[in-house]
Amino acid sequence: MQVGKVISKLSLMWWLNKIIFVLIFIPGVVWAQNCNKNLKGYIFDTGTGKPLEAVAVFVKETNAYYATDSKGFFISNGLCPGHYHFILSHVGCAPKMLHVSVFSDTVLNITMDHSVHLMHSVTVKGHHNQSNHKEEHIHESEIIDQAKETLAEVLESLNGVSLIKNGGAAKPIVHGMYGNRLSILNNGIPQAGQQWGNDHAPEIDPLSANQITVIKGSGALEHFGGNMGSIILVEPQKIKIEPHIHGKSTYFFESNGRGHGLHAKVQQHTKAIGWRLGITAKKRGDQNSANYFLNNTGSDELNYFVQLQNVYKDKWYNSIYFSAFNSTIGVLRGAHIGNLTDLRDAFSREVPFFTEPNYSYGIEAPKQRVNHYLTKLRTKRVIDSLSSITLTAAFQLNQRNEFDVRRVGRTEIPAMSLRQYSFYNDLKYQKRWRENQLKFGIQLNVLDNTNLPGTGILPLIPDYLSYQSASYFIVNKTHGKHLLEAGLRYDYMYRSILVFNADRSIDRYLDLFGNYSASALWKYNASDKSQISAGFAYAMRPPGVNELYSFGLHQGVSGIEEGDINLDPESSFKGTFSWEQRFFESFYLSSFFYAQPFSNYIYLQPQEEIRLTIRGAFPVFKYQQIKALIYGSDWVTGLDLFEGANIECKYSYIQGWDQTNDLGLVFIPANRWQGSLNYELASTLQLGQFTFSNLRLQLNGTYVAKKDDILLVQDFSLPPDAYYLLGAKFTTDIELEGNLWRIVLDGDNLLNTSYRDYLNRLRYFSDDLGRNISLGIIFEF
Amino acid sequence: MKKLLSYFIVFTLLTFVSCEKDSDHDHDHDHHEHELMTTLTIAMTAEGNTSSFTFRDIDGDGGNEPTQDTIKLSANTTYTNAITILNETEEPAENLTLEIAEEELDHQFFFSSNITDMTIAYADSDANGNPIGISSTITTGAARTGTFTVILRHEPNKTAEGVSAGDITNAGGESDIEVIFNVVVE
Repeated sequence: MQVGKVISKLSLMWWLNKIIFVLIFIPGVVWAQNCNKNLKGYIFDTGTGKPLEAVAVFVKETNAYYATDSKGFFISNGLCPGHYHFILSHVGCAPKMLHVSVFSDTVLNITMDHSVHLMHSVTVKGHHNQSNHKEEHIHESEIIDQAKETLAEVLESLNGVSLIKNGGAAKPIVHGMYGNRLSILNNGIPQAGQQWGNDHAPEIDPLSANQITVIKGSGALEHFGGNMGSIILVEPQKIKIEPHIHGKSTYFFESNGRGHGLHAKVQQHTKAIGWRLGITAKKRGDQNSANYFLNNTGSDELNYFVQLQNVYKDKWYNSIYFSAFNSTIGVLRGAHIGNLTDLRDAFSREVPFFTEPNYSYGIEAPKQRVNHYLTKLRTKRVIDSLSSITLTAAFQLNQRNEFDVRRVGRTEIPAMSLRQYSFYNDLKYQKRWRENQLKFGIQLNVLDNTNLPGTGILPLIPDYLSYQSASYFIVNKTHGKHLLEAGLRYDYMYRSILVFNADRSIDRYLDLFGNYSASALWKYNASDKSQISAGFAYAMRPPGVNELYSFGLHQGVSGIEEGDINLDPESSFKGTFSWEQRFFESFYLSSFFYAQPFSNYIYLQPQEEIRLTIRGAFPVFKYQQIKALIYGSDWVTGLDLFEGANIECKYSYIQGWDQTNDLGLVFIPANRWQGSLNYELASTLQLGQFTFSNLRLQLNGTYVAKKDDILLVQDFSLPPDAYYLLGAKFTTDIELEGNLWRIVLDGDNLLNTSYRDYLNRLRYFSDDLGRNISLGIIFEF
Repeated sequence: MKKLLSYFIVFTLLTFVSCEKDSDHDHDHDHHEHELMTTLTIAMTAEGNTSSFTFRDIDGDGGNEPTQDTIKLSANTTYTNAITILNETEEPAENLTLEIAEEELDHQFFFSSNITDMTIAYADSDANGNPIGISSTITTGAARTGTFTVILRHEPNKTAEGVSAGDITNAGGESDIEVIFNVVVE
């Protein structure tokens, strides 16, 4: 590659062709065209804001190469008026494709994201974030690199996020908050699925998103339902103006489960309208642990989405979004049990019952089938450059069917069949003046949850209809290097409930709850290398429907679960402190501390009582309220060893304590340590027609400690032993004749360690997953 | 702007049209257990006399305590047993023994007792020649008291070691019934 301007012979031929084409087909139009336009560009690093030197700039239409100088500057002279595509590549950055319309001399300011491939290096960004709270992002390129994974698994790469699993169904737990306490917003809409069950995974395809964000801490009060702690945002980005159709397609294969997947996303933005389409299909068969097959753990998924946007009279920004998520997940056959004796039998076995040496793509009962549809309309009215009003309306339909092994053909009938409609409506006003900002909003969420009849099994969860309305008010003020934010929120809930009893009678209940939340935040940007923030929040959460009304045998967990209709709303304070610092250019440290005392913390507490049924004796669990304390810290440190090589360590510490009974809290993750050694080739490699860039090799390890604060009276078995997993990853971008490819080779649990994880329900029955090697091929067009 | 606000208000009002969870459908298709086992009866016959012993949990899993009989047997006697399983929440009661007989390959009863000189044997077999246990025999020894356990397994591995001889250890599957009777042999 050469510095400066080079136009190859090839491109002359290409131009000749183009000119001939134009002469023949569009006579009389182009005679007056002057090929004398200049395009100048400055390229900066998104993170540091500094100019990027030696960025290779390739112009597709002219086949010309340029490179930026020390000021990040390049110039392309003598362009004819028209549309051009630029491919920018630089060591350590994801290649960027850019569309530019050149009809006069043009100057571009371009930023490239350095941090994408250098993992989550700490970049102190100032006010670019959506909120002032501590955020961690997963970018599109990382999501696509992990195309085989579910939303929760993608999130697990972030420090402080663990998974609660039932084999293939996984849900995220952030700082000890999950289910009803953790809000997931898809496209700004509170995900309305079955949050209450630990085997209910969020019904969202991560590949539909361009960015996934976890807002840590507490008090991001503008988001619906998330006031108990952290919030997860799954967001597609705006479609950039680009008159040509572009997209990405991905294929992956994974060895464990012999899974295949295809994903494609295309988009275009004409003058009138921008559109983006995406589709994901995945199919996987039985997975295997280190030593045996996990029969009936296959899964399949078919998801698609459509996104449309347009701007009307420069004032109205309108968008429409539709997505569908359809998945079937098999549950390990050996994990389907009838009573406590079966469960005890299962513990005593090295290899679960029903384990066969045969691999299959088939998914039999027990299994779950989920369909989720989301339609969203949003319009933003820009009043002036400083204020706007946004209106959002959304509709969701969630259908969940769970199938059990049953007698005489009833296996085909779902044992649980739930249908949930939800409407969400949100009005938000934003205004900036001088150094201040104000946000005000009203929200309404309506949920209609129905047990579809005909299952032949008494529903564990009642039917209900809930109306929740909320309003919030947030102000923030920047004063020099300091930022202050304060917010207040009120939620009102009206809920009408129908409980079905075994004697066919119906009980009706009415719930009314009013809850306040408040938060305050201080952030100090000491320098571009140092940032400190502290936050404080108070929040209340009304008890969930399962916590109040569930009654009966939850066969999956071999226990009788009883709600308590007299539960009060749970409330908590949360204090957070974060410190991010880069020392000497080569070392950085990021730390986050949190402590959250609860009063009336609701959880399922094992009782001394054992209840006799015709199926045998079962332990009884009751929803109880206690005083609890959850606290912990997340640490990330990174050290640059030499050019292209760095080492990164993450540590996540968490403790949960039941202060009423002086016991450890159940469902709090074990402490976790992750380390990685990374090497990235500083230069590009040329092999024939192929140009390899961003060649990167990573060796990573995860250590999960044993939880030692859970007693046998709290669980069916003690938490499993600590484990250590080794992984490796190789990635490279490949450029071939102006096309961008990317290869991702990933190895998990390379030593084929057999282990069990505390938060995976299958730990009662089987080992966790064994070695998995996956290959992803990504093509950008 | 006014349009936006009025839209929001109208939408908000519309969603409040029905404020109570309607229950129309549950009169048509009620939510109840079609395959619930509420009652296990063992009819024990010796020398033309039949005694029946029942375990009954009418409100299903959880709820009120079940009721159960004590099995009273004569010493040194052989009984032939017939098991009946009912769902008594249905009107008339549903005989689930028929479902078990229909799926004989996927079901097996297991019997055990802590009375050492009591022997239990299967008296029926499925299409593959493996026992089911709807019919069985008990031979009592000396007079004493103890317990008698009846387990019904769904989808056991009948060919696993010892299973067809009545040993549950390697059977697998899930328990649909597990009932422990008190026994008096006199």
